[in-house]
Amino acid sequence: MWLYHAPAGGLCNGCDIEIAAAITPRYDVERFGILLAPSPRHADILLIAGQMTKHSRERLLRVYQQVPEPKAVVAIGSCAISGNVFTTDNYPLAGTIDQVIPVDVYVPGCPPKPEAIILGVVKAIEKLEKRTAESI
Amino acid sequence: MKSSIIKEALKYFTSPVTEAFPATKPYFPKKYRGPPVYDQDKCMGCMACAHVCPADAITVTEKDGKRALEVWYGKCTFCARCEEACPVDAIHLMEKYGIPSEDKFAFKSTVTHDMVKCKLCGKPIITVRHAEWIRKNLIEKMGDIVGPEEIDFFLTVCRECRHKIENIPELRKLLIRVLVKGEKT
Repeated sequence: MWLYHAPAGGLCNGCDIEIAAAITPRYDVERFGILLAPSPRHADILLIAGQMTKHSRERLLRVYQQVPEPKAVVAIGSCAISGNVFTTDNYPLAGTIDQVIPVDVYVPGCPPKPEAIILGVVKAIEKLEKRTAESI
Repeated sequence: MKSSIIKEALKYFTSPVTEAFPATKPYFPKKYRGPPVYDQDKCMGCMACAHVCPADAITVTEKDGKRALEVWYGKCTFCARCEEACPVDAIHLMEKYGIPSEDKFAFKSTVTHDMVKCKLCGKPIITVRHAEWIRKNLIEKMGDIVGPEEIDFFLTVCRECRHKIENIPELRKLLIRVLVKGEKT
């Protein structure tokens, strides 16, 4: 299962650091068959962290369209779910992520613990396998 | 300090670094801030937590004479301001992490309270437990100036009814008594 990590613009990098922590030998996500992909065209699962800005909205859509079917999206952190302390009607921000692209699994936390991120990705893999079985 | 670093380094030669994650309990450092959870037995519904919440993750809804407080972890910053502000230690940040879910409104903690209704107009004012708490504290701290009947009047009549013209002289008398006491001390 290949992951592509896409930070959605305005964020404090806390969630990105936790994603980086989740792929260290301490948690060793390769046990679950999870690897990072360098390009969205090679990926199965999209990890999105942070609050979406007006500038990053188009880029995020383009990244989402580049991921081949079947695909799953995981929203990581409070910012990706609801906007957190930044309200959604803030000027530079373009709403929450699920208003633009369909999100499969939400991982709460500010930032979430690496364990929560791994559980979220495992849940997305289960969903993805179900989806592939249906499409065949 | 140095010996602890050496001990930590030696661990890597003796045992594997990788945690057997789903099988073992995750490690929580000291002062870890997890999701805040309400204690239904202690909470009195005073809304201090909702007032200080910087992300507006705590919402208050009043319906059918009941007040419900709800923390939504999808908006929470885990800053522990609610824990600081709570006068009765009813909300605590637990040592756990949010479980991922397909429904973003699945992660939350709620409490509900019965409310006191206004004697004159029947509008809900404050929760029953909050009224009890105020009564107890007032008698303890200002028992010599305020009588128990007056406290009952203030806790069972809503603000609009209290400010009506026929109730104002009583209010003024109490205010003068409190002010005189304040000047003396």
